Amino acid sequence: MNHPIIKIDRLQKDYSVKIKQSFWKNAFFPKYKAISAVNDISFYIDRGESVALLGPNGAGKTTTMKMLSGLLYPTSGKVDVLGFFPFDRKNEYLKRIGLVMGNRSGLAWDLTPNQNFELAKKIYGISDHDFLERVGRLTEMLDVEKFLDKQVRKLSLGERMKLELVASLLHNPEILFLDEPTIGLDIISKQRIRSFLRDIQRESRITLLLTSHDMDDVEKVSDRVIVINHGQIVFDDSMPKLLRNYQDKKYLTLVLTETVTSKVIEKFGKIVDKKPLSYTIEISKSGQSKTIADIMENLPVDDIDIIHVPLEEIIADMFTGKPS
Amino acid sequence: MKLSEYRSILKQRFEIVQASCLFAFRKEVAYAGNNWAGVISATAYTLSMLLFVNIIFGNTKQIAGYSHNDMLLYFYVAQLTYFTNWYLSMINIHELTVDVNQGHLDMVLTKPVPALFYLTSRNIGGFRFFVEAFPPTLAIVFSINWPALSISPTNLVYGIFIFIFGAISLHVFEFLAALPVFWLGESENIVDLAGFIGAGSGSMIPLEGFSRPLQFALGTIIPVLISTAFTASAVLGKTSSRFLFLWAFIIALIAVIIRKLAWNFAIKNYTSASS
Repeated sequence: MNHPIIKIDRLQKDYSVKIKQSFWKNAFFPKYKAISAVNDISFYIDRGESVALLGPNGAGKTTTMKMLSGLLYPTSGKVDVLGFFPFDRKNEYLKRIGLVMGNRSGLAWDLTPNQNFELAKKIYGISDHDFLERVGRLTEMLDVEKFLDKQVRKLSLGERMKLELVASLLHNPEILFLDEPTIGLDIISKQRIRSFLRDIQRESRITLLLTSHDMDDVEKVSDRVIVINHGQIVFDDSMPKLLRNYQDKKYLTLVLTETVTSKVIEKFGKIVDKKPLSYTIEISKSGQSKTIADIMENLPVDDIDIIHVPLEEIIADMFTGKPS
Repeated sequence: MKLSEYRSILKQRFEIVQASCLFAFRKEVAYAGNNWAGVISATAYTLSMLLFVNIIFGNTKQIAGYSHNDMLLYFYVAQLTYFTNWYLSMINIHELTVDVNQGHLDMVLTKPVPALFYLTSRNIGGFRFFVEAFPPTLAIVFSINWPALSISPTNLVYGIFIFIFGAISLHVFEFLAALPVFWLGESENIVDLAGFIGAGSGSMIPLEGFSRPLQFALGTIIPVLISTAFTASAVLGKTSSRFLFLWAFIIALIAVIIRKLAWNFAIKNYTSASS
């Protein structure tokens, strides 16, 4: 039986923001109003789960993650992670979690990764044997052994990010919080990081909580998706369930040999993308064979490609409130 | 709390300081060329101050009851205050403001270390303290006519403690100046102002040169006179060293308590920079 290790109940976080006034009033008598970054959200996460927190910018996902990792004090509600109130930041708690932020560096800029890892070894009280084994294993998995003695400031973003991940896992945490871990990385680095996260999650049953705007991260790394919008949860279920609502939809990309008007293409399905000599249309899965046959018969088709509705669009529909 | 728990806390803090010193040392030596500029600038400042003191005392025998030789000792303590304050306190405080401003504090707060202790001790510039402070202070040491000073061992011991308490109080004063960063998002200039008042102007005039109300204000509310002016006065026996010791001790104790309370308040209001 699974036991939740992250329990959030009616969590709320308000910030004070300045109300716009005249320059002098603003300078000497500023007025503030409270806005909710996270508004009355509740969820549980079991040990070993890999969960993605999704939402548009400002939805409250990073704020939620920061409250879970003990960085922010909640305005109201209950948070329990591994039996601790995170904001107490007890050493016993902090030793059991890890945090990686795509646009923050936990590694000292002027030192080498090895020197940074040695400091972490002292802080977390890692034994020599475990330290050497983990550094060896993790750097090998991410193929970054050769950068261990290079100054961090001289590493590329991708190399640095992989070494940030190594640093965050040296103490073998039970929960790893990942805030946009692949932001700004090239596709090769992204793929490497995604497969690394999946591998360590399966191997060590670590619980992953991820925020990302890259839907490929979510699809490859997470089993469960929590969608937050305007500080509230609008979806919380498994990835297949999220996709199920869109299972009857397919996207068909047509590459044509000569120009055809949009009006003609619209007869076969709703146009979702248009380029010179190429259209992407939305069709139903059940009528897929017939539609393709009709297209082949009536249009000058050079190539045809069938794809699932991208996760980005599913999420975007949720944010805009469009029916699936 | 049991004695064993205290021992384990002390042990952990000692290990943090040990690791941080090594960490800071590696950072300091990563840019060797930069260190030479520090040595030259500190030496140039000291030599110009020595010249200034000589010129001032060319026309007068005493200032605020301090002879030329007393003033050199005063200047020596002032320099020690400056170097101690800069390398043990200000570097960490500046780094704290940058970390809060840019959100890097997030990465520190999730480490299993006592955050306040770690943040104010992680960058002890031991190497630079040694290489930059040693040559200039040596120049002052050789300028002082030591046999001519009447320093009793008791006053010297009191003086050392007063200096330590003064350094603590000054650190807290500057630390409090950094905390508005939690609300304003930036406080570098406030910290610089506190540093200027403290290790700068607070070390320019001997204690006896101030009126009583100013002695009180600058020894309590803005405790910038303790590490230099109180110490020099106590060592030279110009004011009761026991009285100054007690004063400095009480202020340092209150300062440490205020530091903890202010930190708890600030960290509860930490909003973390957007990411």
